Amino acid sequence: MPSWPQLCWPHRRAAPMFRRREMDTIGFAALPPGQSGDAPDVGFINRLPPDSLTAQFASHVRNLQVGARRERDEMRRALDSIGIGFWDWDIPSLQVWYSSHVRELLGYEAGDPVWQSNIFRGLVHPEDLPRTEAEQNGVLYDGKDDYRAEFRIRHKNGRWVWIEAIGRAVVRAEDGTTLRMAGMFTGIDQRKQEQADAAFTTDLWRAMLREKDPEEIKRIAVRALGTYLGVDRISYARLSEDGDSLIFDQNWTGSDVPAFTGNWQSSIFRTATKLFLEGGEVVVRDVGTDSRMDVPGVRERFEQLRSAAIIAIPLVRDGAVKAIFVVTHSTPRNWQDHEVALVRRVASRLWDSVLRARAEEASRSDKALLELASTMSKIGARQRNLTTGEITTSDNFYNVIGHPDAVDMSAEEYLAHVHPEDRETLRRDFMRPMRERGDGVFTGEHRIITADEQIRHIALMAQYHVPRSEPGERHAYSIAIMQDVTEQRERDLAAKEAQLKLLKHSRLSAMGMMASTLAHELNQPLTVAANYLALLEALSDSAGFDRNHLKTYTQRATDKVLEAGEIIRRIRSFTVDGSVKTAPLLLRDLVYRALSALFGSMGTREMSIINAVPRKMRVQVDAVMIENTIINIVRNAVEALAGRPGAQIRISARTDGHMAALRIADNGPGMTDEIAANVFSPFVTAKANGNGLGLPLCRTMVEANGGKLTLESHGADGTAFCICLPLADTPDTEVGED
Amino acid sequence: MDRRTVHIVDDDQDVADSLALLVHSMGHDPVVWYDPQDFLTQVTLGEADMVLLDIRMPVLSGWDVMRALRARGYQNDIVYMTGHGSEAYLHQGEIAARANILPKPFSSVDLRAAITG
Repeated sequence: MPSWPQLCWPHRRAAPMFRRREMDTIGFAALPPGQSGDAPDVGFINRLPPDSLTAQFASHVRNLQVGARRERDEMRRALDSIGIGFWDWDIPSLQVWYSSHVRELLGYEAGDPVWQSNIFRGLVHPEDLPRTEAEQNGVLYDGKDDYRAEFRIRHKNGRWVWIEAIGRAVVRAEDGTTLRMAGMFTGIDQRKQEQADAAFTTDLWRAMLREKDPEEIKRIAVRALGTYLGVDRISYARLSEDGDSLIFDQNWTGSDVPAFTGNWQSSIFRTATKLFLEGGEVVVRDVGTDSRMDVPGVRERFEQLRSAAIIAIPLVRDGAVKAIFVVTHSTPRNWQDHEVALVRRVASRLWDSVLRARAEEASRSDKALLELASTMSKIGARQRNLTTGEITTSDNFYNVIGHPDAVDMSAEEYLAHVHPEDRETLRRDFMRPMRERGDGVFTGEHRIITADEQIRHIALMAQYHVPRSEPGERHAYSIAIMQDVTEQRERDLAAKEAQLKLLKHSRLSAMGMMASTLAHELNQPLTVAANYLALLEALSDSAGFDRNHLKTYTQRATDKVLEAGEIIRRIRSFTVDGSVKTAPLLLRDLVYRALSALFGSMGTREMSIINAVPRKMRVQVDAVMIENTIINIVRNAVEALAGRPGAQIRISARTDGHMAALRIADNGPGMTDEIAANVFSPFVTAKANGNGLGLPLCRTMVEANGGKLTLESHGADGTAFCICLPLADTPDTEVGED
Repeated sequence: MDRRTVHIVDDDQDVADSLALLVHSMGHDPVVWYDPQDFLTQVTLGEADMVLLDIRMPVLSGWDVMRALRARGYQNDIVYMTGHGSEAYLHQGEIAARANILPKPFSSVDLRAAITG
């Protein structure tokens, strides 16, 4: 590297040594009159505000320009004491005089050998030197009156100090070469720091704005700030729901210090937490000596976490602390004001960003939810200005109607896709409510042929709308909401088919059940009849032929055959075509006829039978079926009661909504739970003495009448059946006989 | 033809009574039981006695009666009467191979064959 003298102040023009000597001899007294007598132009200094330090300084410079050497020295002494970083440079001699303030700024003593321009130059930051020298050369060689430069100078302790220098030529040779310059140094560390902080925050804000995820925003902010400040750790904690503890969920560490983690909830942590939450901003330069740490456990806690210096900023929303932002360092640190300010700015901006990101996230998810809902429910919307024909559709609209590639489909184009069978109806009806009532609503359903030639069912709701703010036809528009209801329609259709199938199936199974019951019920009388006929055959061969026997046995056989016929007749209407012929009938009459039929064929028994059915209650039923059901149940009761003292059958009825509940109760022995459970099962009938229909068939018949047959109780107090039957709508209608 | 005592067990009294007359006309001695419970508690079967047993009866079915008789060591002939043919098949495994099943209604020829074996 070349030595300093060769490089110092590179002269663009030739600078012969004699000139220097000449200058030496000329001194200040030899100044040409034009440059020393009148008040000189002090250039930019004059343009500064009159009360500024620099403006005050300007007058001293003026004096220097005109003063003699003695005066100059007096002036220097005066300047030395007023705390201004003044310098006065005699260029040919390389000697620079600095006021004491400059020495303080740079940490040097008066005797330190830096007071030559060439040595001083070596202290300037290499990056800043070319720019600074270019400015200076403008005054030295190019006839400019003054210069201004910002550069870093190495402090005696080694660190860089930012300086703003202003300087001015005060003595020039006849050829214009500057012989003497004077000026001022101002320490601008703080301003430079502010500029750097501003640049840092500008970049950071930009990065935070780009990010949508609140957690990622936090990560970016703590990492950037931690690196920039050169601290060990930055943490973000939110306040728990109960407001009593801090939950640390975001950490950045710049060294191997442990992260603040988890829930600061225990009693020790709570004290520390309180410090954060109640003290507003907390700035601790040294945990070891700070009096706020004189709470049992707190200092130990921070020392354990290797936090010697702390800045904590509370994050407030709706007047309450919701989170805190904590910057810590593992060694005591004399936090600078700008550092605290920067942490405060980042924390507050981070908080804003997090809140905004959360709000955006919530709104995005709302919108996504809405879109999802309209997609899932297959709803599309379309708005059409009736004057301009301008059409606006929702994202989902063309998907709903099955033409995903269509664009700006007009009403006529839409109609062209409508199923031919529905087209004219839709065309005719669609505008009708709007024409008739102005704000009418159209609702309807039609089929549309999709682009892939499928049929879709579309439910349509449309409304004609005139904005209240702009009445008149000109602004009228129609809104149509369309929903793809194909699945519902297909489901309806399938359900209907299933219902029909079920109906058919239940009738088949009812018939199957009846067939098996019938087989048994018919075989009983047929067996008896066959036995008597066989007996007659046998008797006809025997010698002692008794005519009385002949008559008796023939009669019994005939009775049983007729009984079998009766069974068939009674259920014929149901089994042949499955139809039930109902008529409004007095329930009391049905009971009466059943009891007559029963006791006419069985004779009297020792028991009381009470028909307590109200006189005017009418039911809409098939007389044969219900009579036989009553007969069957009463007969079972009679058989159960046979031989019991005080036997009683009570038949009563009450209305229950649209139904009549007919109750047949006996005071017999009841039945076991097992029998009760199977009382309506085929093949397990509690067998009656004779030719009645089984209970399963009774139930089938009652149900065919739209009623219900249930076993109400079967305990030791007796058995009670309930036959629920539909009440007749018209109680006054005459009873139609079969 | 041996004269046999025929126990008729059927809760349908008309069936039981008519059957008793028929059995009697065939030269056997019918004993009528309307209640299978009574039959089991009161009957003492002779070696040549046979049982005409209805299958479907309330409380105790024909099968229950059969199992009770076998449990007591009775090996008498049993003729099962059924109004529903499929019932017999449900218990085919339980009844002896030579057991007679009479589907109701039945002819006097079938009944005679069942009694005389």
